[in-house]
Amino acid sequence: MAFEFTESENQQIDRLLSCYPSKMSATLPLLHLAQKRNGWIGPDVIEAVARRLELTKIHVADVVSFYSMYHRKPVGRHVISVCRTLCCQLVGQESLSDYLRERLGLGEAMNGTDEKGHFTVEHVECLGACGMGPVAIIDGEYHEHLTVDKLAALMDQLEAS
Amino acid sequence: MAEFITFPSLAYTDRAGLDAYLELGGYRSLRKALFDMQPEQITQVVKDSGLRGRGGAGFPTGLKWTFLPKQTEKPVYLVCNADEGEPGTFKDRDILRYAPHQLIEGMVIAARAIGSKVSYVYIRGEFTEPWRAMEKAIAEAHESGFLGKNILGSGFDHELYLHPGGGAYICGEETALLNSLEGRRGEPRTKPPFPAVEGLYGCPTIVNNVETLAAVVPIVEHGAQWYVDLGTEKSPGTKLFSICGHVQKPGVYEVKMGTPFMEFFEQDCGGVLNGKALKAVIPGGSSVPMLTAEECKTLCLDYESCVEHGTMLGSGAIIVLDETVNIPHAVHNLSKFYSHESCGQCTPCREGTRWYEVVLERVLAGQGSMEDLDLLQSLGNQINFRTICALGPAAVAPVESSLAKFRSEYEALIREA
Ligand SMILES: Cc1cc2nc3c(=O)[nH]c(=O)nc-3n(C[C@H](O)[C@H](O)[C@H](O)COP(=O)(O)O)c2cc1C
Repeated sequence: MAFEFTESENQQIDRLLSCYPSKMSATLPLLHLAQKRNGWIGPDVIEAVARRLELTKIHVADVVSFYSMYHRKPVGRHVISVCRTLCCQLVGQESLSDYLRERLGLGEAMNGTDEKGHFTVEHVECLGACGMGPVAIIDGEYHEHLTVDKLAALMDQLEAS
Repeated sequence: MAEFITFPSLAYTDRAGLDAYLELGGYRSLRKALFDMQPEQITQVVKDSGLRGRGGAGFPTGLKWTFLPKQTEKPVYLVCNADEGEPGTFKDRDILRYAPHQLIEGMVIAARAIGSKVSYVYIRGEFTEPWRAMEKAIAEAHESGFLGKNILGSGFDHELYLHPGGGAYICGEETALLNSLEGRRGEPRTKPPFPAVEGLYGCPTIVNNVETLAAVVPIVEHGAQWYVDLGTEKSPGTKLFSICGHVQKPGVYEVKMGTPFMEFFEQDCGGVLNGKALKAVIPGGSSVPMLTAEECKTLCLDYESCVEHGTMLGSGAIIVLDETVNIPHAVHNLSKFYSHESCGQCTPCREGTRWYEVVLERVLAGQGSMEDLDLLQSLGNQINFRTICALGPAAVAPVESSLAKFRSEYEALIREA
């Protein structure tokens, strides 16, 4: 089924639009809103956003391709974004990455989704929590001072739920 | 010892609410700014305080505010830069989470100074927790009459909105940020015109960092001289420093400008992690030249001392590298960051950052040659002064400074190959 904004999302969008003198300004917020429910941004989401904001599809697609938070492919049930930038690397990020690749069977690839579609892992740039590294965002929330054990426990929990 | 003087709420992690802020004397400055001061007086006190932009460039804040056209038919916008993405920097996140009301108060005061009825806080999209803290604080401020129509009965109106980023370091650059806020790709604009003349929606706009705007509150409350006296003659006041990497006690500290780095590092931060030896320090976020342990001995935490040491205070983000770090390896990590984050608009930056990454990869893989080092050395000249924004030059700093100071580590990788 093609993506459409729900009644309650449309109300949220009305509130959003009242914050700006131009509809275009709501592009990023609407994309976030859509991705929150849909998991990723496909052509149908782009079309829904474009229609709602009276923009061309190409404009919205162009914006989507610029920002790394928008997933342009379907993702697993849970998304883990590991910070790979220097400050996290200095305090042990690489062991987390090794663990994730191994557990999810990604081989040499840094990013990807496991076969069962439980987890998508991506490596992202500095998350602005450098003193609490290594850091990863799991389903939108920061997890700081991560260790392989902590990460494993979190993933076990998510897998079981 | 470092202590929270101008950001008292940061001493706590659980007092972000309005009641706690009022107990600390919150919103007194706003009353003063609304009832006892004219807009020009607010700008003057900020000018006199010597406050400089805390986002990285260090531009004098009060002076920036005077660049707005004196008369305009258009609305004037205030935009708070909460995109915090410079590697090593994590201070604004704490202000947003733990002192959101101080930011709101600072923004309303600034808005009165510049005659702005609407402001936006551009918060990087990943910052969900800071977003919620700000959302809650805005609702509280509205309820208590610190935001909205006729603030505290003064007749001054101001609305403040939050806007999310989409995951792009470049959107911290103020004109890229404005494009992003307009719903476009975050590509920096050519300047002039500067945002103060033609910014958001083509209207006069002031963009300031989170810490800058929050610092306006104590300045208005205690006066310019009080603030000046906290720091040095040329670098008045205090600054938030975020320190990370191989340090015993990483975190956010408020430091009086002019404090000797080693004193801060050893007494407040507990020195190098696990008692190892210090190798290098990047003092102002990943975009500034690194310093050797030896150079750190005479460094003071202020703008001038950093410049004297051939580097910059930047965003006040200190990255500590201990003796175990392979410098080319660390620099390659940063080069990857810049090549990923270059918006691609300017060829020298898009290609240059990519070349850094590729050549360093080769050197690390044991396939480098001495000519590669010359190549790395020469790229800076093709990037600096040839790009619209400062991302390209930022990518040059770690490479050039490390080649100058730790060349033997690069040569060793080549010789051992
Ligand atoms: C690539 C790049 C990234 C930047 N990132 C940020 C940032 O995350 N936060 C910030 O406040 N300023 C950032 N800046 C600086 C802004 O362009 C601008 O100078 C600043 O927001 C002005 O506010 P201030 O005068 O209060 O510091 C960045 C600049 C560049 C070139």
